[in-house]
Amino acid sequence: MQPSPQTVLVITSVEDVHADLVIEKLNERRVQVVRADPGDIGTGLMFDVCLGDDQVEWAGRLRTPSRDIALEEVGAVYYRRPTPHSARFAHLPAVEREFAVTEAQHGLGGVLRNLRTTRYVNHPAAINAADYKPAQLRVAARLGMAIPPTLITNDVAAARKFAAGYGPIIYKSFRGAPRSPDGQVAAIWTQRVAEETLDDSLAVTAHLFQKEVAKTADARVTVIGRTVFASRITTPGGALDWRSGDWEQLVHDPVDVPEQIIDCLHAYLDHFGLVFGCFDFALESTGERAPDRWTFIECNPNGQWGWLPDSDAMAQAFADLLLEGWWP
Amino acid sequence: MTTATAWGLAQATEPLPKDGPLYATAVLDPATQLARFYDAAGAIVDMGDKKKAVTVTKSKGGGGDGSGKSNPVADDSNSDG
Repeated sequence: MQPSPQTVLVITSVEDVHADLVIEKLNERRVQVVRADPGDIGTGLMFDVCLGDDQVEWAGRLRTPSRDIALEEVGAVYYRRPTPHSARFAHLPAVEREFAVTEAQHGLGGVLRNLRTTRYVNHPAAINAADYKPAQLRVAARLGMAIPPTLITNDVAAARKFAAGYGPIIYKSFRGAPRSPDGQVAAIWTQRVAEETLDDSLAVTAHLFQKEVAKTADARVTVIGRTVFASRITTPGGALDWRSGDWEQLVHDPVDVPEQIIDCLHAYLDHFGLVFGCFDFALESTGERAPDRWTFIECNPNGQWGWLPDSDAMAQAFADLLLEGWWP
Repeated sequence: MTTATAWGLAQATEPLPKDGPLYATAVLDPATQLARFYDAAGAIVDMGDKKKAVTVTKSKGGGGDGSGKSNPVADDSNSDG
């Protein structure tokens, strides 16, 4: 007899405020929730699973200080932002650390991404695949969405030629600036490129340049299952990158997403095996009373959304999506 | 071997000003599985209004399986022109 699902497994760190918003909604639905951080592996997280004989799905226990659950009874996984194993094992010598990290990734991580349930929001493998900007832009373009002309290169000559053909151009990093050893964080905001600054130091690594879109606003479209939330975002100074200013000054207004775009977003998520995504668009005015032109910028498959005006409804949508089809 | 700083990294801002810590400790409530945040004096910190503060540049990177491949970076989507 198949075990009946009864648990939502929330994989994230204890500091994750976004997860709290969804867990509150799940608690209201009276489903069992277990919040587990793979980074706690050790006495803070124990597990044992078996496969074989007539058992074709991993079955066994996952134990945290506050829960002891049967993994085969997990009905859905809400995958958020677990603590990196490298942090958990930072105290170990290099070889021991690398061994423990890799074994935990493949053993615990491998089990958690291969549970009996197929309801992952989102599956970590899908998140990884969809995290690459070259993949995002390619899929968006193939689906017919407008994207900015884009160059990825480490060749300064190619960058100069692109700037000459498409200027003004902007630069954006793929992943941002790493944290420095002393813990300081810098930002690499999306920024306009002064062509004369392009030099041979581009050769060091990959760089992404795009034609600047003459936008009048941004749009954030958050898709959770079949539910679409959208905000038009404007900044008092018309900043190129709205993250660079005072978030309190951002103006959020409701915006209608064109049906054609919505269809593309669902197709985009389907392509990557995602059920949730945070899409960013640049909006260009095409004239008074004319609809804005929507240009796809990117999609964060594990984005933050708690700062948006609809966050309470979004949390409900996550709970609905997680419980759909198996919980009353 | 090229030893120059990558052009892109040279476009980074100065280190962002450090906000005061939002909380001193985070503890999981066993019954609800919700996090409870406390300041250094042990008083509860209401994170309800601090969602923005944990959204940009301060939180862990997404994706992976706790692998630590992702740096803690400006982690929400870029917006550009």
